[in-house]
Parts: sequence; structure tokens; C-alpha cells
Amino acid sequence: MAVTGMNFTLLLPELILVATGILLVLLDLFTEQKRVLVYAGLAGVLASLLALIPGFGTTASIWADMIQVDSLAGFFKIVFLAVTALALLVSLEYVERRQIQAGEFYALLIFATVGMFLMASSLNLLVIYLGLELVAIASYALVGLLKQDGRSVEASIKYLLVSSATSAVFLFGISLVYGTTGSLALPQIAQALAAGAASQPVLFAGMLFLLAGLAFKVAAFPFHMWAPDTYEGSPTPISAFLITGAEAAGFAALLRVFLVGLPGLADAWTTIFAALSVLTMTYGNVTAISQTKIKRLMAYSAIAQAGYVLVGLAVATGQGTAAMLYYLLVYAFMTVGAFAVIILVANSGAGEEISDFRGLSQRSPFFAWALVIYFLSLIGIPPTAGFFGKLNLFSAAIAADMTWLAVVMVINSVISAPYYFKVIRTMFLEEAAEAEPVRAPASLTWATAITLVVTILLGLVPDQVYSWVRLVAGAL
Amino acid sequence: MPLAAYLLVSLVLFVLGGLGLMIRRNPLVLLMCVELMWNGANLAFVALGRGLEAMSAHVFAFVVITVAAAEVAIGLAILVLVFRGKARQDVDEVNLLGERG
Amino acid sequence: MVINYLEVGIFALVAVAFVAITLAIGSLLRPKNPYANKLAPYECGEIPVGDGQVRFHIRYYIFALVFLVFDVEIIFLYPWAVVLEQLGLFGLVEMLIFLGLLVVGLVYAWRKKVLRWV
Repeated sequence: MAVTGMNFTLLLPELILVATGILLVLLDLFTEQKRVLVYAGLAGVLASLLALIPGFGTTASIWADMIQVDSLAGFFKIVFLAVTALALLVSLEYVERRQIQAGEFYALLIFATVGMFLMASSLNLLVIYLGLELVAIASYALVGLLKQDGRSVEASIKYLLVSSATSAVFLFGISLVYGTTGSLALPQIAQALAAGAASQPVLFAGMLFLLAGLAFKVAAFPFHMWAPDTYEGSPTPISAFLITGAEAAGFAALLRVFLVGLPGLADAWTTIFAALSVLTMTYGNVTAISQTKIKRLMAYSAIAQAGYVLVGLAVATGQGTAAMLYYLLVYAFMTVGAFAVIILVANSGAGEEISDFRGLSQRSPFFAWALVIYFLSLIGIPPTAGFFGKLNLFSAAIAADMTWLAVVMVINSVISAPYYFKVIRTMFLEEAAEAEPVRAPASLTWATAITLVVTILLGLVPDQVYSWVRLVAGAL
Repeated sequence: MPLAAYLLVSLVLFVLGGLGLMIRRNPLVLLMCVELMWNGANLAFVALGRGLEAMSAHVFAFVVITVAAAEVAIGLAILVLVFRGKARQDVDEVNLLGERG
Repeated sequence: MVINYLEVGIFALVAVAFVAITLAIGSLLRPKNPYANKLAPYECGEIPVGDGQVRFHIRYYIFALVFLVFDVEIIFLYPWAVVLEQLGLFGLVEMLIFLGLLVVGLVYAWRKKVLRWV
């Protein structure tokens, strides 16, 4: 007897990542050259990316329907691998400087990526939950790895308590949905809904629990309170990794659970997502204005951006999904890029206050201009990738007769401009305390260059990428 | 014994855990409250699995137990770090991060 | 259904009552003469030192963690053992891989000198 649909080829990307993670743990034990770990990690990520190729364009349910291989999973895997590779790059210098235990750091980063893979590539609530927990457990440790720093430990314990409580909520939601529909597989749940289970109040409660659990993971408004503290206290590369990767994984799970599993309750959850979206983006942007620490600013900015992405779920159309995917792709690159600059400034001896960016335009023009482009993209100023991301969400909202949501988005973009410009003004108009140029390690320069190129490219050829994303969204 | 009774107990466990999370202040107790919530959900699973006569729920319960163990292990490790920094018994004293600082 | 539990209920009541009544009679009849030595905890004739609620050394916690991993592993081994014959070689290899992954954790603990008692 064997499992139905045993398929190693299609599971290869995950297998390679797991092997890489274990290899990193073992390598760390037997070598003093910690840089080797980064190179091994990057090689593993690249191998996993190559292993994605055979599965491209195929749609298959493998391993007893536990793993779903389709273009949506493929899309998210590419995003996760890109984020992980960039996180490895920006960590290289940071880990050495802060004397973080390198083996644990890189191995956990890879394991968290495996968790994200599972979240994006399953139609079974059990596997989605398992992926969610793999990401969460790895990130608790990652957030607290600056063990000498009380802030890092504090961020870790706060993240742990809130996140595990929400996991419990999510779990209870799964049990309620399972109890009413008799299945953990999302397609079967959808069938049960269509056959009349939708009218049960218990199922509705289960849906609310699932929604709350996942909304925590993407830091949507009433469920966001862990995010600023966690992102401020954790090692900066991990903030970048969690804000982009873990959040994208959360959205992947949201897409799967609600669009595939619970379309029968769409009337209810579209309204909830619309409300969450408005609250989240407004709260994030308004709170970000008064921030003085760059990482907190980025945290609130991340909350606001999650609000924009939620628009795609509020409209619940193919166009909305495509717009979400496009935005998540763009967002991953511009945010990791911005964090690369933050790491550079922090490494140069200055702190992580916004005032530490004074005179960066003289100290390091390349990085200062790169940050300008990321920020313009985050605001959504026309020629940048972020603009097209917002435009897609905007037109998806209009096409779904939710013009008011589109209007709120535009108003929010206007609100968001001042706090980004505050940082830009600090970099260009204020004099630095010390004028000597910042020494940039090659890894950070590479990370910044790559994200910069992608951010600009996505802004130059948005149509091609968007038509690809449209295709991917059709697979859902 | 009807299924509803088991579900009621699971709900009570879950709500107790949630309440404890809100009113208790010792991080170790908070961790235990979270465990209570997890076990509440898990009990619901096992009960429903019996009710539906499906094995998938039992498998799920195993997985949840394992995940809970991993979560507690890492939670305790982080708690040790918190206590090592300063003998803090109260989560309200863990307040280096925030708008004021 | 419920009537079947009646006997159990009566039995439980009798059991509780028996203990309570015996203890009550004992406390009425016996002489009461407490003094410090008599009230001290019995530690094989030794005079007790320190508080009963001692703090355990943090090092036990690490052992507990290592133990936990292999403790929880058992819940996967039992169902596996039940169906091993039907799973055949595939099941065996699968479980060996699973155990192998756990051994990596043990190797990690060993190399990080967690297992050494200092």
C-alpha cells in the first residue's frame, strides 16, 4: 500500500529546501566559516527555484491531495524564494556584526520558507495550519535571536503569545468548519456549502474564527497590535522577511481558504474584508505619521499596505486576486530593498531612528536614491511599480462596483505621502553629524541593486507581468 | 454521551484560556492559557472525528499535539531569556518597545 | 444507559463515606499532642534542611526539551506500528527518514554541548 499521488518531482522544491535547512544545521556544527552557510543557503534557494520549472503550468493534486501544485502555488513560491534569497543577502553582514548564532539563524530562515511553501500550496486545512505553524515557530526564534538585546527578547515573547493565541483561534475555526462540513479539504468544504451547509450558524462562526486567525497573521487592523513591537524589536533582516514573506504567505492562505473553500459565504466575508481593509489602511497610515523610529514606521506602513491588499479579497473577483498578487510581488521587492538601506544605516554606526538618516544623500548617494525610489513606489507615485500595483487594485474595486473603497484607497495614498517624505527630506536636506561616506558591503549593494532593478522593471513593463498574474489568478 | 456535551467542554476550555490570556499577567501562566485554548480546539476535533466517524480528525489531533509541544518548547526558551534579562514576573513590565521609548 | 451508572454512583458514595467516617472516628478517639519535631516533614530520620519548594536548576529545562522531542515522537510511532505490515517497506523507510530528522536534532544538541553535565 502506498500513498496515492506519490510524486517526488513536483514536491522537489520543498524537499530541496528541507534538505538545505538540515544541511545548514549540520554545517554550522562542523565549520567555523559561517559565510559558507549563506552561500549554501543561497545555493539551496536557487536549486529549489530550478526545481519549480518541471511543475510549471501543471495543475496536480499530489500526496493524497495534501499538496496542490498549480500556478498560484508556483507564483507564491517564486515570491517566497526571492524574499528568502534577499533576506539571506542582507543578513550576511548583520549576523556577523550582531554576533547572532549563524547556523540557527539561516536554518530557521529556510525552515520558515518551507512553512510558507506549505501555506501557499495546499487545499487542505491541516497542511495550511501546519505551514502556518512552521512559519510561526521558526519566526518566534528568529525574532528573539538577538539574545543580549532585551528589545528583541520582548518582541519575541509578545509575538509568541499573540501568535499562538491566534493559532488557537484558527484551529478552533477549522474544527467548527470541519464539524459542519465533514471535511478538511477546501473543495469538499465548498461542495458541502453549496449543498446547504451554508445556512448553519456554526459554520458562520467557524468562518469568522478562520478570518480572525488569518487576519492576525497579515496584521489587519483590529488584529495588528503585535506587529509594530515585533517588527521593531526583531533583527532587521527578520523584520523584512516577516513583513514581506510571512505576510504574503498569510494572503496566500486567505486566498485559498476563502476563495476556494468558502465561496458560499462570500456575501458575508466580502463585507468584512472591505471593512477590515478600510480600517487597516487608515489606521496604518495615520499612526505611521507620528513615528520617529524607522522600523516602527515601516511596520505601520506594512499594516497600511496589508489594508490595500485586502481590497483584492473584498472584491473577490479574478481581477481582484490578480491585483493582489501583483501588489504582493511588487511589495516584496520594494520593502526588502528599503530594509536593506535601513540595515546599511544601522551598520554604519548610526541607530534606527529616522534622524539617523540625516545627510545620507551625501554619505551614500546610491542608497539614498534607492530608498527614494522604494518610498515613491510605496506611496504609489506614477512611474513606479507601486503605482501600477495600486492602480490594479483600484480598477478591480471600481469594476466590482465598490467605488467608495477605491476612493478610500486614494485618500489613504495621499495621507501616506508625508511620512515617507519626512524620511526623504531628512536624507537630503538635513546635514549629517559625520560626513564620511558609508562603507557598503557587497551583499547589501547586491540586494539593493536587485530589488531596485525589479522595482523599476515592474514599473516599466507592468502589462506583461500583469497578464501573467491574471493567468495565475485564473488558476484559483 | 452526546456530541454536544464534548463540544461544550471544548468551548469552555477555549473560552477559559482566552479569558485567562486577558486577565492573567505572568507570562508562564499566559503560555498555559494558550495551551488550554489549543486543547479546547483539539478536544472539539477528536469529538467531531468520533461523531463523523472520520480518521482525518484524529490525525489532525496528533499533529496539533506535536505542534503544541514545539510551541511550548520554544515558548519556554523565550521565557528563560525574558527572566534572565531581569527577573520579570509580569508581562506589563516587559515594555521596552512602544510609542513612548 | 444511565441506570448502568447507578451502581458506580452508589459505589463512589460508599467509598467516599467510608474514608470520611473512618477519619472522623480516628480524629475523635486519638490523643492529640503535637510538638515541633513531630510536625516536621519525615525525611528518613534526617532533620530537614531548607524549604520544600526549591528552584530547580535551569539545566534540567534543557534536558526536558530534548526529552520532549522524543516523547512526542512516540505518538506517531504507535499508529505507525499498528499498520506497519500493510505499509510495507515504504512505511519503514518513511519512519526511518522521520527518525533521522529527529536524530539531526539530537546531534545538534550534542555538538552544542547540551548533553554534558557541568
